[in-house]
Amino acid sequence: MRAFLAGVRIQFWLIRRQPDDLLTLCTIPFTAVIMLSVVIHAIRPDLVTNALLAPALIGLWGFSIGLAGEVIESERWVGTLNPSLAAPTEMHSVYFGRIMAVMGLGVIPLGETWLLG
Amino acid sequence: MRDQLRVLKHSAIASWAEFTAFYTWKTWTFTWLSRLLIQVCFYALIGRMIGSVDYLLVGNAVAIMAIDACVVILLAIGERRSGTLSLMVAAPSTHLTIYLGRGLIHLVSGVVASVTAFLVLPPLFGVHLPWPQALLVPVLITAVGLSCYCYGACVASFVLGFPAARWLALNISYLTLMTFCGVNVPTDFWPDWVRRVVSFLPMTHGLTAMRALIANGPASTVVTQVVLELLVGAAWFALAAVGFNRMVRRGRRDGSIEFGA
Amino acid sequence: MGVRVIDLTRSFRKGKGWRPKGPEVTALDGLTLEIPDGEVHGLLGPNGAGKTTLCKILSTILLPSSGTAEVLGYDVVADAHEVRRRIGIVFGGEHGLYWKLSARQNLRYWAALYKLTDAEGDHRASELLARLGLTAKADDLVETFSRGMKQRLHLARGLIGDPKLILFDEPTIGMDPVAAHDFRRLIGELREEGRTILITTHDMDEAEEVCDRVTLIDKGRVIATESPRGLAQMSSLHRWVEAETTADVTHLPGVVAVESRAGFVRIKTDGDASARRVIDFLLDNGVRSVRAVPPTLEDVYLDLIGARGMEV
Ligand SMILES: Nc1ncnc2c1ncn2[C@@H]1O[C@H](COP(=O)(O)OP(=O)(O)O)[C@@H](O)[C@H]1O
Ligand SMILES: [Mg+2]
Repeated sequence: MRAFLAGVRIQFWLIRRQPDDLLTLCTIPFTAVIMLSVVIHAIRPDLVTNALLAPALIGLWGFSIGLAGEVIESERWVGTLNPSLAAPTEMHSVYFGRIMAVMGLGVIPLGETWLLG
Repeated sequence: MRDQLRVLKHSAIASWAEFTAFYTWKTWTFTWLSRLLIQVCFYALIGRMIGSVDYLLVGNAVAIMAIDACVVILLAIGERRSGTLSLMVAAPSTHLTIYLGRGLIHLVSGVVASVTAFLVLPPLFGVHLPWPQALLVPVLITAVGLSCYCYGACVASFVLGFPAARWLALNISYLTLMTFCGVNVPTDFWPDWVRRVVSFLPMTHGLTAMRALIANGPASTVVTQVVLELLVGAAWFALAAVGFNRMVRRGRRDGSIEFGA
Repeated sequence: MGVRVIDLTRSFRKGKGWRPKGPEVTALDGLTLEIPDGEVHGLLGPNGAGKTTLCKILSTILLPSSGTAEVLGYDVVADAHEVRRRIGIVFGGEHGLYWKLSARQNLRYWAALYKLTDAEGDHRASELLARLGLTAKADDLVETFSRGMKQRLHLARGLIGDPKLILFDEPTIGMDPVAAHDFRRLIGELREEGRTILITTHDMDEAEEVCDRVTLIDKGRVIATESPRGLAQMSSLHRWVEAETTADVTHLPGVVAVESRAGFVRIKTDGDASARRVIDFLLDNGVRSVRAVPPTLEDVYLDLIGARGMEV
């Protein structure tokens, strides 16, 4: 559990230092506007909910796939993956923590599109 | 001029070498190209749902090229990381030319992706392209690509001073094009002022030309719109040149161009 | 004149962002310096003395706050373009190369940027690769190179445009002794080719060996410009006596410091008269060998700038 929390903390800390990682959050308004413009232009008010839900799901999906993959990828990039695989603490839970932190952030898009609607 | 072209050539060769060190054609196809094609399919499916599959398919098949064309924005950080920015500024060549050459490979990648989308996807969605006009599709895509590339270079010239914002700048740049330039809905869907702004963005006129071509529209419309697209590109190119000079001047003034990294 | 710098000042504002608001630091403070054509000139000074700042201004990537700097007769601000065609830049460390390209690709790329035609560029790249002993690895990616090979390639890169003035900013930092030795030989060759060289360094031995003249700077100001020997004479204040002896000389008048190691002592005295007194005393008190030596550049440096500069 300690390792898990350490993982969560390190991930938030990294994201704070690298605002680029928060990017998906900024792409969502664009996707939402695209979807909305499409359904409004087609005069399909019944699809507005879908149009708003879709970007949120895309956000969640893109965020988790992109970042969670990147956690492992960038770790290897920095060259810490190998030492930490050999480290005594169970690194899996650290990774799990980091990835969960990313997923947690991925929920923000839901709120974001809800607000836009 | 010969010098400039040689610089362009060599920086394109260098970027090709770096690109192929990163991608093989297989990894490019299965990661990058497939990701772009899926994006087009996604929007085409939405199009099918609301009954305008050809509009969204054509729009998005062209639009995916903008992503690659704007990747030039990311290159600034590369020069800083490898510690070559100072050497580039201290070399007796135009910075903009060097920079444009280094991103050229991504423009090519984008044009190839877009053309592939036009080859593969229309039959899948039952969209018919008129023959032999369809042969001009790659030409139009290249024209749009060039003008998106100049637009990207202009954004890049500003990001050079704020490398931390590069991803944000990249995404906002191409998403703006994808949202407002007639990719998914005609530009007259938007309020007047948006439409006026959008006519100065790349893609708008190129897409109009593309749609006219595919709808067997008058040749004059196609030609005028392509020319307008290229003019927009030229304007962005001029802005990029100004932007680069400004950024280099600013760097020389505040000392942010470092030896090393 | 290779380099002419008159009353050059450059200050920076500390802090980050579009308009840094921190306090102002003066990196160069009215620096004046002349380097004739064909001279190898050393720039010595502690960290933060302003050495890199001067190199940056001379290489046109930094503007002066005031004063003028000319390179080969061209002003670094007004005629930056003319300056750029004629200078080469080499800084220490492994940066300044594209790691995903081969050595030859790197050089060809820079050759084009220095306006060489393709044929000239190929020729010059091969020539420089041979000169720096990289021919065997010419077509390998730079990322597979050892540190030393990267540094040699960086040197080759600096020479690609056939520069008349070469700026070296701490080029030997992190070089192993063999590489550093080769580097000094290369500097000798470049001097024979008639190039002007400005080299900043922390390594006194290096400066003493390769430089025609050195300039000591501190806090952005020139303290002295002289030949390494002349500088030593200038601070004749201190004379060293080296002797193989066990005798104790610390009580003699004029002895400033004594370093002894395994029966061998170095005695720092405050002048010629004191040195003579020490030698006489030693000759009377049993000594196997004794000699007076002028101060080394390092002594002068320590004397004029203080020990703080030696911390890297
Ligand atoms: N870009 C910069 N921004 C702020 N201060 C700087 C900058 N470059 C140099 N300085 C300051 O100027 C002084 C001289 O630096 P530098 O020329 O790098 O010294 P040296 O190379 O002799 O070690 C230092 O105090 C340094 O902190
Ligand atoms: Mg320095």
